Amino acid sequence: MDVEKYIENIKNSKLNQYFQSNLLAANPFQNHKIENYKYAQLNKIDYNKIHKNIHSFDLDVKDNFYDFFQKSKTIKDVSLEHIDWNFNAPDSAIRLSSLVKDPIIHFFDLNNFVDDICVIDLSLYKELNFIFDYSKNEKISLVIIDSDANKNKSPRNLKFNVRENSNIEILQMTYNKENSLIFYEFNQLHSSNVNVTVLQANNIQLRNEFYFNLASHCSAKISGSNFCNLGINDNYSFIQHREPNSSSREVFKSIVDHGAITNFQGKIYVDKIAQKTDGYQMSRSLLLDDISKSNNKPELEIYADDVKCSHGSTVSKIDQDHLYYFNSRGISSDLATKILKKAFIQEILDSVENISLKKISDKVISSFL
Amino acid sequence: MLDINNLKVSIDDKKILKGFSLKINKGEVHALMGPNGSGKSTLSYVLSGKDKYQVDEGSVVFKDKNLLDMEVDERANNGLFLAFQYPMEIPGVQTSFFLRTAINSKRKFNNLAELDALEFAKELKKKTQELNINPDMLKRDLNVNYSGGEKKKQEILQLSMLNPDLAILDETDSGLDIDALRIVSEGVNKARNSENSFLVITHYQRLLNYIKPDFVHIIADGKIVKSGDYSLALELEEQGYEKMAQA
Repeated sequence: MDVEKYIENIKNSKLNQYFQSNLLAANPFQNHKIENYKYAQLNKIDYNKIHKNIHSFDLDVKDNFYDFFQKSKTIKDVSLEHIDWNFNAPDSAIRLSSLVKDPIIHFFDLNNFVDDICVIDLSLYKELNFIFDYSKNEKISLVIIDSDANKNKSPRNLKFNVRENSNIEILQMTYNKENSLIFYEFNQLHSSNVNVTVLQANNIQLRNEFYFNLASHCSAKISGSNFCNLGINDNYSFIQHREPNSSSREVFKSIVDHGAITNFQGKIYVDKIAQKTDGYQMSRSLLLDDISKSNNKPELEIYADDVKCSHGSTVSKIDQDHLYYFNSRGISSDLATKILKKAFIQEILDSVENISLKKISDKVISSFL
Repeated sequence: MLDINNLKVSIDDKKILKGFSLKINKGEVHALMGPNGSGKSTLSYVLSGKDKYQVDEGSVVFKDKNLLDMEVDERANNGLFLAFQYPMEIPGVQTSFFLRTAINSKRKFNNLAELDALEFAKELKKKTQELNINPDMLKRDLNVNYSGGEKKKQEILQLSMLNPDLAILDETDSGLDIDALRIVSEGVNKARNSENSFLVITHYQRLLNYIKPDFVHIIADGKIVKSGDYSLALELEEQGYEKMAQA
């Protein structure tokens, strides 16, 4: 299959027509009656006004990812193949492909990478659609960076085809962005494993959507953290268990300050044949002041009768008793708050498996605490 | 060291301490005994600076400074230590990291260089051995899933690492078995010297068999009703609080 053919397919798909006619007409970003965009009142932000207040963070690792991993900046293009496009549930997605008229596609065959870590900085690409293909048994680790170096405000679509028995780990970082809209899609085939860790910090307008499509014996793990100081940050996930014996684990944590708002909406969908599904979802928010807000909406849609699915959600402040305990040992409130913030998202950092990625995620997070 | 004069404290308009006075000199160990609700824990919280406790009257002078003017962390860095009756559980914060942060905060306050990892590890190893603490405990999150005895041992470990001028032990003996009580008391006795002072708050005379006080005070209804030496604790054990408070 070549790129032109692929684009043609998208344009002709019924799903695409559905989005074009219904959702685009309704303008989801300005109409909170659409369930998946319930809290995403992105139109309410006056970006010009807010942008003046944005703190400039000096992130010393920012430009050094490539040096850190000793990678070259050029990533080779390879041919486009094995494309499937098979979300069937009626509310499965508003695809980026539907939102843009002429999608440009960038295709990465991750099987061609010799090293176990691959760094992709979205600011280096003008393309809107990325397709990642991977089919090896050994685990590959991918770092995807979306930073303020990327001035392009257009949405991005990142699609991962994870073949049978393959393993992939992704560390995705979005920081210092005025505007970030990313759609992730993971199509996992039989017995594949995906582990995604998302670190978001200091973004004003952000909406990330995560779609997982799980075949039998797959496992998907998504761990996210968001430091939100300004604007409205939105995370939406839709995890489809389409075949038996798959498991998913999702934990999302946000730390909200200065009257910002974070939203989390996540759905676990279990098909009627997807027996023995094991699904877990948790979203937690830590509010640092009285004017910040967090909306959390977990959803389960289950059609099989022999499954284990759980979800939970908490919104809390920093525990004053914890702070008192630190103080009583001579530790200042500022330092104690920093430590407690780090403790709050430690679980997310722990989900990173690759040692090099662990180092870099620790460093990035520390610079935002 | 510490001079509490006519201290009156209330919480949510309820009067708890009603004119409490106590003077502790350098090198002295004072025991404060009293029935439930007499104001023992309130006293320890007020001294450490916990909010929501309203000081209505009186003064507290600690090392020639007005203690009540200081923030909680300032009091600690000036050499006050409160061993909690119920130490807080803090998930996500490793015990050894917490200890090191506390020690370095105090050193920084006193314009001393921070301890590096190696120096800290050496000091910690010494103290854990003294207190018979399993080093694995220090790798776990602070007080999370610790047994009652482990929590109290951890408090005493902090005490001996921070080396305060005045340590207040708030019912450190509660919830301890006989062996743990002995180990914890030995830890306190090792930390004792002619330069520091202790205020031991307890219900029972048993703890005082291990930590021998120079003075014993009985508190009832928010103030000291009787003071004496160690024999007062024995007398109290025989007669009970009600009789002693009336006497």
